[in-house]
Amino acid sequence: MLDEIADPSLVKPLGAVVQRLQELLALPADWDSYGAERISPAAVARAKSLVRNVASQYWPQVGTAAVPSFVAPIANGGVHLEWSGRDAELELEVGESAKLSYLWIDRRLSPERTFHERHDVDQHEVIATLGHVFGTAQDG
Amino acid sequence: MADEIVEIEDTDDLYRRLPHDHVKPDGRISSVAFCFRGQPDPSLSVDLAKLTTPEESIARAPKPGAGLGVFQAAVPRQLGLTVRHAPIPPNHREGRPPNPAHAVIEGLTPEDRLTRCYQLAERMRILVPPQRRS
Repeated sequence: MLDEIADPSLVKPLGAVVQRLQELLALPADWDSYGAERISPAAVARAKSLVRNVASQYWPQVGTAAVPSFVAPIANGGVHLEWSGRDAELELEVGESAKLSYLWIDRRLSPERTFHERHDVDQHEVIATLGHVFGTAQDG
Repeated sequence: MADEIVEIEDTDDLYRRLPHDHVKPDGRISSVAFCFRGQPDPSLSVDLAKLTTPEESIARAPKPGAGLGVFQAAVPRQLGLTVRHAPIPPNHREGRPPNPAHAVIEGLTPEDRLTRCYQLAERMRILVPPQRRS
């Protein structure tokens, strides 16, 4: 999948995220000591696809911020990804069945914060919301 | 003794085990540490500090290396969640020991669970850092 990425400076950070996602598949059941499920291949596949699409779209504008800053397993078998912008963060949950939910933490009115939580959304909405996180979207 | 329910005061500390995967490189706890498995009645397991020790709480993990986070019971309550003592009796069939300190945080809903987990995570302090998985 990295073959499609033309910018060589993107290959290394993106490759590290993809490798991290792949490693999550090796976690045994109960990896969190509270009875967690094994990580779902469907969730990892969806996460990889989304990470690639986000990076392709935003890398020219925001550089390495287009690559998730944190990747973690979720107890239900899903995958958690985070992106950080100057005044916002987005936490994405890729559920065990590859459904997408996100939390957008908006600090543009700092010190006030606004939480935007959405469930069962499509990839287009996630990518569009990341435009707000990165500050590249026009508010409307 | 394991079945005796105790009151949990706002100032009581609650422990939550933390896998290495849920602590960010900058040392902050990720919201994902509070993701729950059960639906539609999600509850989050913690240990009531006054009925256990950090060492005992960590030792309840089946494998070594878990860390431990702590916050007061007031934290989830201020977020509109409930906290109650829910001791676990021994399960002889599965060979599981009792946990008289077990408590649950309840009230996370499907609609706001990500927000609440984020708010819980930013208020939890790391008492024992988790060890990197070898």
